[in-house]
Order: sequence, then structure tokens, then C-alpha cells
Amino acid sequence: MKLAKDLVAASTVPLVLAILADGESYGYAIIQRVRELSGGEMEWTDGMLYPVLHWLEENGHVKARWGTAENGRKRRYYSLKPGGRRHLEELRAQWLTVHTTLRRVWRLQHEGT
Amino acid sequence: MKELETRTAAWLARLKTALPGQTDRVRELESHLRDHIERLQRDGMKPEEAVDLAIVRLGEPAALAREFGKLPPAWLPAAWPVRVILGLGVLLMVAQWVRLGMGYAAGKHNLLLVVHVVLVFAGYLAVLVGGLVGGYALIVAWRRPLSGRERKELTRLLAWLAAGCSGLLPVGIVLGMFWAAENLGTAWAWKPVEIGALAVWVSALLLWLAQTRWSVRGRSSWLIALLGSGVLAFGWIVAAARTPLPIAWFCGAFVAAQLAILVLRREPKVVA
Repeated sequence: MKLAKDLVAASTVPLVLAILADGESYGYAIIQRVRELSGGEMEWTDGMLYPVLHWLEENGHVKARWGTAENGRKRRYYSLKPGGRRHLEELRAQWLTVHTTLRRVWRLQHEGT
Repeated sequence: MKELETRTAAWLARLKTALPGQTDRVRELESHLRDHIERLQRDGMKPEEAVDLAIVRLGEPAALAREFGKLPPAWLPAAWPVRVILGLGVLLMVAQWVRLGMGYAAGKHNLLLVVHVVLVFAGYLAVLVGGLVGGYALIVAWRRPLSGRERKELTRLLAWLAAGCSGLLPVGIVLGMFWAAENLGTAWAWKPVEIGALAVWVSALLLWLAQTRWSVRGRSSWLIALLGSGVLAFGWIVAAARTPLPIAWFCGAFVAAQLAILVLRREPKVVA
């Protein structure tokens, strides 16, 4: 199943923030985690993640630092700031509302048939 | 392996061209590309196939630059020289407020005069800072192309500075006229300091028009900002030295140069 482009775009920020809520991570690992969590259903164009990460950083939701990986390569690690945690809570409430509403509509339709 | 490095280096060179001056972003994307290549090779892919697939997944440099270009411009440009210039401007303004405030508290200054000086000084500083930012932008643009976002941020900052000066200076000048009428017997005497203030206001207004109304962007607008700063510097030096130089002519020449750029470089309005 291919997800609509708009839906993928809208879910990027909550997904990134939710993954970072588990701890510090970097771009490539975040993409791998999304792929793994969605069972391969959510395929991001890798490059689209970085402008989102930078936007989150500029808006005070996440902070970044340069670190060195086990293989010696420099990596930019992101972690959640208190503002990001609050933003995630707001997004979570919004997505749950959408989810609950859709579920109710579909249940009613199912019961009607 | 050599092929892998050649292809990676070619992609990296294109990325550096697409994201000029954005070293951190380039390094981060390169790190991502290498992580992915390594992973694909571990999964058994040949090096040259791995690099091609990793590039397709990450995106072509031009497409990546377009994605970064969609980010809304920051209120404060990221370039440290711009931040230093703005910081110095704020420091100077605060120092002036403290000096005037102390003078007023000690009963040395009249309130009308204090407000006049605060407004005029803030307007002058906005022009000075705008000129320095314009000069910085011209130097950088001469060395490398500026990214779309950098241009947007600089344009926005210059527009704010020009708007600040265009708004504050006339109020300051009018208050000064009231003070002069009361204390010197005449509101306006066409002294160098008065002509200078008027020239600075006109030059800031031209910069504001260039940025917001006539769509004069990039090098031309930075040059207009720099010339505006020139009017100010010239006015200050002449007023401070109290020389009999024909200030009106020199300031007029700077303003005429700004006006010429504005007229020659303005983009015609597109009628839908």
C-alpha cells in the first residue's frame, strides 16, 4: 500500500519527535526506525528528513551535536528539548483525535451495513 | 572501490555547489550517504551499485537544495558576521540609552531632546547596521553564490532595518524641530546635521522601497544599503568635523546613486 504524499508529509514531524523521545538519534537511524516500525509501508525519500530536522532545531524543538560513530565517521545527533516534548504531546493529542474520529465513523458505517 | 569513491566525490562536489556555504548540511548528508552505502554493501551489493542506489534514495543535490529552500527564512540570519554586526548595533543603542538616561536623571537634558536623540540615533544605527550587512552580503556573493534561503533572510533583515529607520527618523526629526523652535528660535536651519538627517531618511526610504515595493533584490539592494550607510558615515564625519564641505552635494550624490540603482534594477510588476 502506498501512502498519500500529504499524509506522509503531515506525519513526519510527530514521527521524528516520537522517535527522538526514546533517546538521541541521527538522520539515517531515524529513517531506518520508521521503516522498521511501519513494516516497510512508510518509505521516505531520505533527503526530505533533513530539512525537517533543521526546521525542528531552528524552532527549538530539538538540539543537535556533532559526535563520532564507532566507525570513526562524524554524525549529527539530535535529541528532544523540553519544547519538542511539549510539541509532541500537542501533536499526539491531535493525531489521536483524528484516529478516534475515523474509527468511530467507520464503526458506525460497518454497523449500518 | 575506486569507482565508489569517484562517484561519491562527484555527488559531493555537486552537493557543495547546490548548498553553498552550508558545510554542516553537506557533512551530514555525506555521512548519511556513506552509512547507506556501507549498509547496502553489507547486504551483498557491489560498491558501484550501492553508491548509485544510495544517491537515488537520498536525492540529487539540486532536489535536496530545493527541499532546504522550502524552509521558512529565519528571523535572524545564521551567518555569524551578521549576528556580530546586529549585536554591536544593539550594544551601541543600549549604551546611548544609558548615557542619555543618566544625563536626564542628572537634570542635564530636556525630555524632548532625549526622545529626539534616542529616535534619531536608533534610525541612524538601523542604516549603519543595514550598510554593514549589505557590505557583508556583497563580499560573500563575490566569493560564492548565496543560497536562496540566505538571500531571503538578508532581504528580510534589510527590509526591517530600512522600515525601522524610515519610521523612527521622521518622528525624531520632527521632535527635534519642536525642540529647536523652542530653544534656538528656528525649527529648521538647513545646517549640515539637519541635511544629513534628511538624506539618511531618504536613503532608508529608498532601501525600504527597493526591498518591499520595487522588488530590487540581491546585489543591487545590498549596494543600496551600503550607499545608505555611506550617506550616514559621510554626514556624521562632516557634522562632527564641522567642516564647510558642501554636505548637501555629497549626500545628494549618494542618494542619487541609490535612486539610479533602484530605477535601473527594479523588476516590472507582472500583470496576471
